[in-house]
Amino acid sequence: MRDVIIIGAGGGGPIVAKELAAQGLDVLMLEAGARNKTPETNWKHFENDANNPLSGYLRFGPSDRTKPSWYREVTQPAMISNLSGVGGTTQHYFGNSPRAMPGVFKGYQGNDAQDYDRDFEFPFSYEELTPYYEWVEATLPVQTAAMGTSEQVFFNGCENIGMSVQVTKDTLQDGYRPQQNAVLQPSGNAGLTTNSADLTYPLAKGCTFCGHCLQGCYEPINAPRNLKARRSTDNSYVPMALTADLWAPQGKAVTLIADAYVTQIHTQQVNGKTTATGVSWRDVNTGEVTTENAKVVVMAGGCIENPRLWLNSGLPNSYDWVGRGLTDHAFDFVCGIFPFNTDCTKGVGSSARADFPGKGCIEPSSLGPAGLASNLMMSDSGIRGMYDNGRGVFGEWDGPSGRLIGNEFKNFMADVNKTMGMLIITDDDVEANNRVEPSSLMSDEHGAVPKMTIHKRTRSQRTLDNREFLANKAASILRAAGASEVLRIDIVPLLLHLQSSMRMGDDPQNSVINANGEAHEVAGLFVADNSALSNALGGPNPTLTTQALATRTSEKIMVQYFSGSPWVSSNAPMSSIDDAITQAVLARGL
Amino acid sequence: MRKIRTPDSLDPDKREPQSNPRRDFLARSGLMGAVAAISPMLLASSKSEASLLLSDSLISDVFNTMTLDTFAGVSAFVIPGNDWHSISQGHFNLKKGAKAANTQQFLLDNLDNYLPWPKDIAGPILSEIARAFSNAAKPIPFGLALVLKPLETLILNKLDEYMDRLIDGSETVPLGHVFSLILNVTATLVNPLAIGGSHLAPFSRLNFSEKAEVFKRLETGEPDLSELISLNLSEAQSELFPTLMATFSRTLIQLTAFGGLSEWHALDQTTRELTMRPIGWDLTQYLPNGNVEGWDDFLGYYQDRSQVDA
Repeated sequence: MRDVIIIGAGGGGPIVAKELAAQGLDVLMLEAGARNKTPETNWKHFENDANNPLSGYLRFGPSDRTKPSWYREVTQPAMISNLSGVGGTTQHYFGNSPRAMPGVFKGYQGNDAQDYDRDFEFPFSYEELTPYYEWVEATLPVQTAAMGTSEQVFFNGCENIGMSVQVTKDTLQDGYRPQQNAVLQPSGNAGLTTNSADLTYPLAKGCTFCGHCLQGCYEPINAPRNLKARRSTDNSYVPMALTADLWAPQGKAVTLIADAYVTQIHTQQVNGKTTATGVSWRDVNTGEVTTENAKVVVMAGGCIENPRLWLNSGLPNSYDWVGRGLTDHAFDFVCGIFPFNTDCTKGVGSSARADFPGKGCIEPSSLGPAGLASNLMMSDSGIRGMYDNGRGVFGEWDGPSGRLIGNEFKNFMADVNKTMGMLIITDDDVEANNRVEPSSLMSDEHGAVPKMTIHKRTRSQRTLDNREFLANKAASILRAAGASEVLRIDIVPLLLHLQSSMRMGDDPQNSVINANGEAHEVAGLFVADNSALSNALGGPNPTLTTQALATRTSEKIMVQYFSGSPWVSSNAPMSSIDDAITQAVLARGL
Repeated sequence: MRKIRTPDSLDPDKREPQSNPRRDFLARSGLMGAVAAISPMLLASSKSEASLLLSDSLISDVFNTMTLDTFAGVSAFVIPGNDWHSISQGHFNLKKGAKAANTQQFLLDNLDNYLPWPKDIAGPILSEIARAFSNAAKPIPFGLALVLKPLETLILNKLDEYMDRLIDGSETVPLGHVFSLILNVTATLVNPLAIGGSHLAPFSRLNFSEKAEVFKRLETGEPDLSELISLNLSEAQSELFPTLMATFSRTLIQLTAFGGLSEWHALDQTTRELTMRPIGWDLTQYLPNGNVEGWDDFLGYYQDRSQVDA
């Protein structure tokens, strides 16, 4: 019998794994997708090879790329962009690690308190989470992003419209800034040359500005796994978890099994309470089913898979809130074309941002030509000049919103390094009718597939207003930065930042887990990924807050079930790039 | 022409004449054009016609031919170039486009092999589309039977049998074929004259504006395709139908743009090395000197601030 079984090795699960392994617990972590042990060999910088949502090595599907990806039913057009595999969606994230808006937490007293959705706030204060932020920021580590040409263009735009620069991690007012990101700052030759021979470790350390974050980070070449530039969990927390016995005084290495799709959470009645006892998983390649028991089970399979697994397992759902309240930041995409180089395909995909408390955020989002083309086509406003699908919104951009097609599209793409895309990250409201539930029509070998409903046009008025505000602001920044043409795409839901489908709250009538991260209705069952978030954080990218919350949840598990003591307030964090970790990684051959 | 030896079931003289509505569907779907294209290839092959007609790959070949031509029309629509599909739609330019990057094959491969669409939903919907057309009293505007050659008639008869199995649910169709059938059927609703013309597939015979109209109808659901051709769907299928059509049309456009500008056509899938510079990279001036491990674009830190406090 294990101490803890963790379901999912994405952005949240490995944090719990590493923290509890460092405390000496026997931890098993299961991942449905692939474990990419040798990315330098298996990954490339090619867009289709990596990012094709159907067949790329970074997709939501089995490790065997000859097999189809896993199906999810959607009730309206949407683009699903989260990943399976060790590292989960952090395998293709930009490493952006802003803290949440303080206004989404309980007890917030700022003058703008009513600008937020107060009905679904976190059940504790921002100040309580701050030490966990600091712990994760030191562990990953999170640093101030280096600046390249595209960031300079963005900053010029922000300066020209009179915005203030933010010089703190806490966001207290409107402002722009370099990202705080989980990307190692460049040193040595990194960022200074295009000569590949000069960019191998240790001649180059940190980010080499290769521009391929979305294809998975394996730079610098020859760097130990824990010293790769981008701090996706497969480069940071997972190596620490797998070597905990080598660097933590009481540590015990985590057991990691990939290609293991959990299909059932087992429970029994203990003292009149439904209590988690273990899980069964299916080997994705052989079909073999295995069952193991544990004292604690942690769900970290993501906002879509967690509700599916819960409901397919027949766990209690007295208030019908499991899977409800899904938030997605109601993304949009605004793109400019410039009469000069933005060099947007160089460097980290997004190293700058602007935040607007109570409304959301904007960040430059740089992609290769195929990725940019894909974003430009995701419109809910039809084809510009042909049909508007009932939308065709006007604003600070040029003409109606919509996708380009034909020669207009081809001309827009004529020099990808003279473009700049801006991702609109809306502070969207928790709404019960945005949800995940098992499909009544379709199932696969892992049970009824998840059915997702996430409305776009009929969101709360605050969500819709925030989205419009941010789209107009992004267009203004682009134009002030020198863009000669600005387009608003008005995209369909892009399911990339997903939050709150198993939300944390005090009231079981509108939440699934309590303030400790444990299920209201199932003892010994915790949630520790984006789905545990109480809301959409006010717009900031969710990974850092998920990881801070998962750290806090790890302490709660240790105290409540293993008679341990909290450590974040009393110990110093070990950085994942510490030499002790490097030596452990090398010794274990990771 | 060589004499054709076939089993009785495939002998046109021993079969009941097919109804015009079924042939109407085959024409609207582009399959009639594909049959016309494949017949000369069959006659030129060394295998006996009977063995070809009995082979499992024949129907697949017909469908693939139709689908590739349809997707070539989509490729020209999204990223036009200097190819015939672009020129004939009246919207082209002097540079290569998505068709030159073999995006039609990219679409076929991905939709057939990787798109996890619910075949238990898509299959019945396709069957219902076929049934609706087969039962419709809308004969095609000219006497196709009069111009069919014997081998084409035999292949069409085999297609008829296949369609029967499709309708009764005993066959499943790769999704690329489903997508192209829907495009072509909708194309003939937008312009009935697209049943005949220079390309194999009705969609590819449309002009640029008409192609946009096809996507508009699928994406907006107006007019409702299911009502227009009197689809008899279950309640669950009816609920899902508009979303499937809208998702299908957006997915197709998005995949075309993605694949057309990616390295796919230039990548050796075995070695995963480039065999040539991708056309999309030239069109977008991406990576002018090929892939690199890094760029010399580090300008320092904004306002010389390399770290911040809480």
